[in-house]
Amino acid sequence: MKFTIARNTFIKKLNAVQRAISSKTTIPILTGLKIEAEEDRLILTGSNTDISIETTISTNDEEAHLNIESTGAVVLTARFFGDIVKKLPDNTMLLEVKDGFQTTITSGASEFKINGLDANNFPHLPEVDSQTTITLKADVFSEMINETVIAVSNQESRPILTGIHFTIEGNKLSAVATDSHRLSQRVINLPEPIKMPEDIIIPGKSLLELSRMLDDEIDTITLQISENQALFTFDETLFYSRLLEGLYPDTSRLIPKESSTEMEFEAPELLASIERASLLSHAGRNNVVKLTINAANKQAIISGDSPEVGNVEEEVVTKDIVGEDLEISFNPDYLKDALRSFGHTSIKMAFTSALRPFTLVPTEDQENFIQLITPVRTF
Amino acid sequence: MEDLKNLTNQAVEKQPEIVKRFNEMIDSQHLSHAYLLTGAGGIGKKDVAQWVAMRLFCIDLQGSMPCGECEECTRIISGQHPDVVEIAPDGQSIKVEQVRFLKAEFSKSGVEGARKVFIIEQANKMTTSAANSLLKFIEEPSGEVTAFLLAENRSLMLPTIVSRTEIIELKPLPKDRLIKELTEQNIAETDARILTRLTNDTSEIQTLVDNNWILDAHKALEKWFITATTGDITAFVDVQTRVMALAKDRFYQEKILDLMMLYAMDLLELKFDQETITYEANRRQLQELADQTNVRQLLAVADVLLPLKHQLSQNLNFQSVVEKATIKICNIFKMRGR
Repeated sequence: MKFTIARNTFIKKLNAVQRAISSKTTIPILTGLKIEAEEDRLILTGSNTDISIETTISTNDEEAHLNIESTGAVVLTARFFGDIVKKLPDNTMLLEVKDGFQTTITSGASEFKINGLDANNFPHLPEVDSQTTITLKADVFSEMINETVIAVSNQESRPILTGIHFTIEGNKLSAVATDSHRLSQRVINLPEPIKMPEDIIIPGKSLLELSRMLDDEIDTITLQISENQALFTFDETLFYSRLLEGLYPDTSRLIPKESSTEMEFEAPELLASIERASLLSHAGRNNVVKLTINAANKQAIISGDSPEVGNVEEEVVTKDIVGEDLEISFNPDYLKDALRSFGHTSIKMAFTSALRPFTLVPTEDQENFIQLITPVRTF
Repeated sequence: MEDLKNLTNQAVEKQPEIVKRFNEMIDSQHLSHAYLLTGAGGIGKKDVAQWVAMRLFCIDLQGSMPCGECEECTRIISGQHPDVVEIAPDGQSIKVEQVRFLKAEFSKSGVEGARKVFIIEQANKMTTSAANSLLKFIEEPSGEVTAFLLAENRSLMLPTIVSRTEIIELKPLPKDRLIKELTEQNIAETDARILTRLTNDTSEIQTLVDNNWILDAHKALEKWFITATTGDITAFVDVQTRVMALAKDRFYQEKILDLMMLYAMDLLELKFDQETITYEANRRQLQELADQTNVRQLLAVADVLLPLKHQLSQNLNFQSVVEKATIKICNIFKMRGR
């Protein structure tokens, strides 16, 4: 294998692939980056088995100045290969692999010789047959991930809850995450109905990593599903994620259909109040704040009482309150996460009783985005 | 990477019957999802587990045998296959972090395909809580999963784990094969023969070979036994001067008693004209001794030596036990040679 390439382009692609490479791994070869030269393109692959990222540089790419003299493949230890490439003196670099996978990197007056590994030992990424392809707006999908990932569980006792559950019904793609204390659900309308073979559960960590890669330059992203992996494609990059296996709990029945008390407010206003109240609840032993709603006076009061440190009380600025009076206690961090996911918008909060979960939805789009929080029993 | 190429899987040579059994299970699609493989160290437990993995993954099956050469097989043998997860104790025990990793792997789909194989070496070195937290995954794994738990003895495993696995006990390796393996490691054949009589566990054998313990022990006990069987009471002194230095701890003490017993057995074998004896190097001396004594005397020697191990397990002092036995043996042979 032998090729020359513009270093800037190579570094950019290398950075993308390095997201998947971890130095802590059970399989030594996974600390490496796979470089494969074909007739007309260069393929870089990195994997930590949970996610695998593959990106392509074509010889047609004008900025890359890619010139492939001979084809082949090698695996190089990512950490110092990355450092070497970044510090090379010249704008172009030459990479050549000789017998025994010894690799020579030449740029300007500098020459490195490093030992490579046999690319055949690198994990083989599955071939995804594109029976179902879902095309999505990258920014919308990224939003969907960030809105739901907050409710993903990080406890290992129920691994299935560490993922986001995707289902398609007709032309609605829905994503749900829950850690059994709260739930977050987002629905996207697809341009046309799609049949997905079955629902899938993708690890929250994988999706978070994916959403970090989706910058403004990326317009659309496609999703394909094989029996064991989900494949996201954008630009010249393929992002594979393993799936979680098992049955996701039925979450549809958790969301209450009716309510007895409703409250409307601007998300940033309540967020600020909750943040202040949680200062004390964090210092105390129980991380709980209380919301007292007086419907007749249209008054809502957030209070926190931590006997060890002190107490706080604050009246929340609301737009409207209807229904019955209510006292409800909950973990302020759950509400903070939920409110942050809404951004600057008007929110409707709906309660049924002090011990039943309550919901938050944006006033303008009450169907497609819902956050649900379970209260804490304090009496 | 060169040394990886020399790795081979010895399941077929070491455990042909078990391999055949697994082959039939795979052919008839009766492979269950969790196995507990038990047997002494070096018996080929891991080889069997890897062989099954190769049998499942190999892309170039030779009849019903994995080729051992394709990229799937070589990656499994060298422990680089992402869907064949291997865990071995990191130091004294299997660490919490490793168990966490295992659980995460159990709940995720395969990297390359739908099938996954788990190999947990020395599974008895998991803490009780770690083992219990794996129960759920072993009992009802999601997807096509086969887990192999390897342990020396099923009694070392939690009953909750044992009841959820299919137990396969591996047979000890044939003696000849062990001797051949040992002589290949530059151990003299006479020593190899003695070692295989002491234990089948290759890791124990390694301990005994280290620092020439077995050579020294053989020399010391040879002197002691020949002296004692001539009725010479100076054998009593040999216990202090020669034997005690070798009896560092309970493990070595037991092996010394075994070595002593093997002498008594050799004498009986020779008396009854059997060909195979343990101490081949001393055949002439032992033959002479056997010829000069009667069966009653030889049985008396065995009677003296046999209960020693039991006494040791009751925490009697090793030195006094052996010294007492030495006097008894001297008394049995007092009249010989005069």
